[in-house]
Amino acid sequence: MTKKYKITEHKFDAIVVGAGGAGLRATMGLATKGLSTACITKVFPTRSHTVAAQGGMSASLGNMGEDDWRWHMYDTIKGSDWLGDQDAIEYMCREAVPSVVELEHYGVPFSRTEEGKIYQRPFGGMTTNYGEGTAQRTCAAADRTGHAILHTLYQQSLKHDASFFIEYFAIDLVMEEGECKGVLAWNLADGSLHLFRGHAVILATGGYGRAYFSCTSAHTCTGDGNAMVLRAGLPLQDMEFVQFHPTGIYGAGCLITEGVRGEGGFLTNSKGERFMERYAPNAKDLASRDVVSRSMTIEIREGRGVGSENDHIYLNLQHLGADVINKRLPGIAESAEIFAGVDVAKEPIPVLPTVHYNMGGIPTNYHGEVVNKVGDDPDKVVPGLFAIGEAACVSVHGANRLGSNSLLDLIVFGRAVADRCAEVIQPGTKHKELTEGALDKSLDNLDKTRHAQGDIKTADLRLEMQKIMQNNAAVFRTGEVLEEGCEKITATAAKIGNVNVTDTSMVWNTDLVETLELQNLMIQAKVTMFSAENRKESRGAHAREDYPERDDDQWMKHTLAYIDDNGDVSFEYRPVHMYTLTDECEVIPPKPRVY
Amino acid sequence: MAEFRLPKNSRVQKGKHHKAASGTNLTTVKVYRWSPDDGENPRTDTYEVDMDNCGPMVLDALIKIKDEMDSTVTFRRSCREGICGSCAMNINGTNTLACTTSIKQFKGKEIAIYPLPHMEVIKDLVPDLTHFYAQYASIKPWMQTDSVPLPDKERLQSIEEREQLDGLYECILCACCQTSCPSYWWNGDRYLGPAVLLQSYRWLADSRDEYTGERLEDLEDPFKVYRCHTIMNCANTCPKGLNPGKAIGEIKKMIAQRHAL
Amino acid sequence: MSYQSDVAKVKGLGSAKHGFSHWWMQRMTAVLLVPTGLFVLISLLRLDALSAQSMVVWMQNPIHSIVLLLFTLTASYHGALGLQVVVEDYVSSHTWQLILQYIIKLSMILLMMVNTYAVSSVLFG
Repeated sequence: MTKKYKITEHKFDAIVVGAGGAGLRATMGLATKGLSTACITKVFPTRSHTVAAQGGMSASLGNMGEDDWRWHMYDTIKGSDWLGDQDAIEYMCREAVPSVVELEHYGVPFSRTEEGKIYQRPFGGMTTNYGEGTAQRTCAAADRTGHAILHTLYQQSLKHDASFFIEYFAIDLVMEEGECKGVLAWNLADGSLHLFRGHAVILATGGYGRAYFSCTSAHTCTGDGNAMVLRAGLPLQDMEFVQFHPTGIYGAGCLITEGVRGEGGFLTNSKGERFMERYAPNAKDLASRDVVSRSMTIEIREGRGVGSENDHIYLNLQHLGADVINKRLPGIAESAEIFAGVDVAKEPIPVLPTVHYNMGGIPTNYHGEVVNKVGDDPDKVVPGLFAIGEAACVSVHGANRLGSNSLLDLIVFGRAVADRCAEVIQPGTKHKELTEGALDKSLDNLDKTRHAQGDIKTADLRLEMQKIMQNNAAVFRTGEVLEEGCEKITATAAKIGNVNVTDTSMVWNTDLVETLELQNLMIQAKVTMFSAENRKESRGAHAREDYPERDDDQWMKHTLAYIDDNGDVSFEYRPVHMYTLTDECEVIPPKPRVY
Repeated sequence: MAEFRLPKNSRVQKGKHHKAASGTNLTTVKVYRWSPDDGENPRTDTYEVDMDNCGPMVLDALIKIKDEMDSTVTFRRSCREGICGSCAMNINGTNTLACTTSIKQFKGKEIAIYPLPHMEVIKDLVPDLTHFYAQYASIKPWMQTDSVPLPDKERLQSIEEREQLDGLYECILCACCQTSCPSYWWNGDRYLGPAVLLQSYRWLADSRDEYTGERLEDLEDPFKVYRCHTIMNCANTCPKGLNPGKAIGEIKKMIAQRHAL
Repeated sequence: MSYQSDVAKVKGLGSAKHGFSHWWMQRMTAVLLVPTGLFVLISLLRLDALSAQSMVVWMQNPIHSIVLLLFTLTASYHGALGLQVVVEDYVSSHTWQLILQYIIKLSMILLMMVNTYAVSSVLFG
């Protein structure tokens, strides 16, 4: 197979796969540290989905009132429903402040306060003094914070002369003896294949929202890195935790930021009632996302949804006035107009809980090093492999991520991984030769898929998978529905060998790209469904009606899900880190989670 | 000389006609097709799309075509909400984003889709944007300062100073304006073009940047800036409602001020 | 075929660090053309007859001659600046650029000299 496809080899110190917020922060960090770095990305960096993040990035700057990173840490742990690793959360919340300041120094056009400081807005689940008041902690550039940050990071990468390989599709990791040696990638522009050798391979490939029928994620959010890890025989962690964002536009699925509620917007049902007051008497509309999404789903189920089918909810911001909307929320005014035909100054926006974020992903420690459970060691580092951003499960978000903690996660761990690589890699270290045939399995699959002459269209099979995920792994879950989901997704996944690819070209063959992406989505969908079926409790975003309570005795542990070549899923577990890095803060013991 | 006709091997020919399997509410979508593999001239293929089972945007129609009728149709797409800038293309004569262009506005009439004009085509609706990106990098689009900020504090910027960046920082680098500009068509090798100049002005307008002089010095060139003849196609076509023409005017004004005027 | 990097292609010969004066003069001359042009036009329309004889009489007024000269010189200069842009825009061959720009500049100078000679010979003749 290596003969049929000519492969160009490149040697770098570090390879970053993905050029979203985390990938770019890592790339520029590595480049400044003097490591030769390649960043491989299937879309031009500013087209990565970080660009669509709206609300902001949390950091306890205290620009709009007293704040403390320990309060932020408490909120994040509570938000995670005590599934987050407390050492990593401590690291993230403490590093949040210098990370945001650094971004400002790079030129991010943050909105400003009267004193000229970075503007911060309230966000769901963010409180002061361990749950007492509402914190204004989310640093914002109007409602285009992700866009502002992503563009700035790309600009910094240009400044630091990182090597970019743009519109290269990463196919597989190159693993030998449990060590990651590089990445195989396909240059869409000319159809050539490339082997990128690196002492560190950093996966920053984002989430896999497209496994669902309705999601806020981009078409390109197919979790390619997660799938590569699964194929390498390594596990994914906590895949049952899929966040539904309360406010996706009804129908289109486009995101309406939580910042709308942060700025004073609220949800109403068909009776015009602010129903969140009943479900979360303190935080109301600013309860954490899993809570709000469940409350909305209950309202709709009990017949209080709006619209002709009573199947959605209204998000009101008319009362904010044109001035606040223009200054703070211009982007969502535009989106609501285009995708819902709504003038937000006059009418409410029709919204629905929509798949938004994957808390699960590649298990790592707070340095970004990928870990696996080997024997009794639950934190065994996989040499040469790193993961950051939504692709990773550090785990700072546990069972539910707080809004504005994701941009933070990207930046803090993008930075951390660069620091770690600089510690462990000597620039210019020689690469050992790969054994012959190391790429055969990947090339084989590529060639087979390229010439696949089955009788199912890629798009049809994708739709089948998305519908199953949407119906059987939704906001509320039961054992019965999940078991049915496992059966169905197994049957659907088995059909992947029978797809049909019409385009056989190697140049910009999006037919083949979409089919490879479908392979990637399919194994993640399967692992998600099986993990959800396996976890018999309710925690964070995983709400089981047959097990409505959180069960800390049995289930305060991370799920590790593996999938073998036959498609069989198996599980291991890692303990939650109930310890802190320093003595500057204390472990937050589990308690009931009320907003 | 500037070329006013396409070279022989680029002239568009009539392509295949794909009939809809079913449906009565059909809209004809014509798509520019070219593959580097077969050595053939470009062609426009025609697809009859059933609008009763199609999303509201042009991108939805393209995806429907790819999913159901012809999976070889090639185009870039990602966010489908008008923020990533991937699906910039020429739709019925206007450069815009397919994902935010509603089909309804064409009132059932034929929709003709071409790649962004006057760019080299890699395949179908995918143009080569390498030169555009290199031009973007050439203006040093990052904050340049001599003074060192306090390590643990943000640089201060007043609300009014920050407002100067509104209408500039929102640019998504989709290249719609760039490739709608006749001046960029004729002299794209040397003229920076509206999108890149808008980005230049974004840094000139930033109160925190300390390299205004150097930036202006680099820009003052008969080709880099002064190829702008205020045709204003850029402002007309920008899918984000920005006005690159105005930004270029501001650059010219700043250069004039530099010359004590 | 070229293996030149994208950066090299974009940077090209670098910034000429001028271009402003051309742009500025084009605008300044345009502004000057409006009053001088109107003055000449209206004056010509107000002549009893558009004959050489009446022109000569009109031009023998020094103010008329100076404004006329200002108008014709400005028009030549402005025209040359404009044509220069047209050539820069549409002619990509370096050789042709050079030849055409030379012709434009030379024509401008010739036009200016002829104008100056013609007006002054009438005024002083």
